[in-house]
Amino acid sequence: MMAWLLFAQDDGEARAGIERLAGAFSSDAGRILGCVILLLFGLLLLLPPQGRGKLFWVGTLLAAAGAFGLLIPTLVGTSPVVAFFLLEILVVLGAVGTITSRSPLYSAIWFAVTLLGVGAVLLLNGAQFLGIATVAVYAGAIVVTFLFVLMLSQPEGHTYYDRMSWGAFPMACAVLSGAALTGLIAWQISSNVQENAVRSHVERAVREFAWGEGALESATGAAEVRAASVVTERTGMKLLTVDLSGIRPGALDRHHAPLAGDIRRAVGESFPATGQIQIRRRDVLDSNHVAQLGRELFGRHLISVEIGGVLLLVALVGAFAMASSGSGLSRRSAAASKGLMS
Amino acid sequence: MSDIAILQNNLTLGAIVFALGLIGFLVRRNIIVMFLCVEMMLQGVSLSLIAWGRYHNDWSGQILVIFIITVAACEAGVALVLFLMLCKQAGNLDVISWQALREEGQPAYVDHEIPEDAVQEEHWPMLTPAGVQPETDPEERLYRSHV
Repeated sequence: MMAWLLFAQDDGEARAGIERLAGAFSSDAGRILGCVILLLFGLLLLLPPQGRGKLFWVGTLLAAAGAFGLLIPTLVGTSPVVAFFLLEILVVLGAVGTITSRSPLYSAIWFAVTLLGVGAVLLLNGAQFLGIATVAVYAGAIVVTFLFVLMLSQPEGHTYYDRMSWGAFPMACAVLSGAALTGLIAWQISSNVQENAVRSHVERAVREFAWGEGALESATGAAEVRAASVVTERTGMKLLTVDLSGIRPGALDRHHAPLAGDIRRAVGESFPATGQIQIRRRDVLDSNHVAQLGRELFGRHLISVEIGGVLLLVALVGAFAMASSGSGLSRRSAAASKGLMS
Repeated sequence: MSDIAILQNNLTLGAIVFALGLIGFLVRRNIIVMFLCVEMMLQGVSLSLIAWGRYHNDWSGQILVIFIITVAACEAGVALVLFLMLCKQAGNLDVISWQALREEGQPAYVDHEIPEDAVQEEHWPMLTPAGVQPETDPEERLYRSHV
């Protein structure tokens, strides 16, 4: 394509070619392909057998351009754009640093940076408990354990096998497969998710509307209530316009549904009335998030929690058994006791 | 449409993190760095699960990620002990030390050239010496190699 552009004699022909090229790259598949190629070459320049010399910044630029070319167009329409953008920079830079650092020590520290970014993204996505847990458990405990083991087993720091890989061809294949995987997933996401977006949006609205109507009916125990429509959707709140004319005053008291209080607060004691009521959704983005997560975790998933606890105990005992039955420790303790006796 | 945009953005981020972990696992040779890359792939999956959970307004994604963290902690504990044992036997953390485990009939991998260490000898700040240097017990070196 490029060669054809260079050799195009006719002015109009060249312009048409440029337009076609721009069209190919503005379409999603073309953009993703270009970004994946950038990511591929950037990583090839950064990963171990290459030096940390002049090409380091070129590789960083290429990899960053590839990753953000994949990410930034999907940022359009998200609500905290700047926050998401900064956090994604943190996550991607940390990940690239993890896999390209020569010293495993720096790898572990870059991984902790990635974890901070991931924790913050989880926080933005309404997973408050998990955001904290990721930072505390992963960055606080697991990465520190990694550093301990690293210090115990490789105290000299720089080693030759951290500066090399499996040779040029296997490495190129590895990076190519990873970049191709990214491209395929990004392409699938951009085509399928966008296609299904409108349909699922309508489906969701209908489902939630049906939920609201059913709940209202059970709250008032009557078919007199006609929930008119879902008017707006805010975070954690849903606004229903309700026609309450014709409702009997005693109906709310007979049925102790969670919505009764909402309705009473909205319309007061004056029946019949028409009013707008705000209904709290049992929502992932709700403000008393942790209580609901705990209810779900220790309610529906109680058995899994127990199994997880047993698994932790088994891993602890197993790790201790392996560590203490290793040949190195017994030899050391024998040497130590001999040193004490002599 | 904001929900869709956030979902798409987070799924793409998860895919990139997963793929970078995959590349690191395939390219690096240090056992511990390979294991870090596996943990990074888990992070990518966690991101996607949380994004789907937010989109469908469902708790299952977050519950699953809690169990992922639990299992990852167990796995890290056991694996790090194994790495310590392997490192004691082989003397280094290179996976090539364990290539006897490869499939039958595969040729052994041999390093062709070992790259020079480009890092110069680093000079760390030192305190001015005070007093005489204590003598080290030669027998102590038997069980404390890095004194």
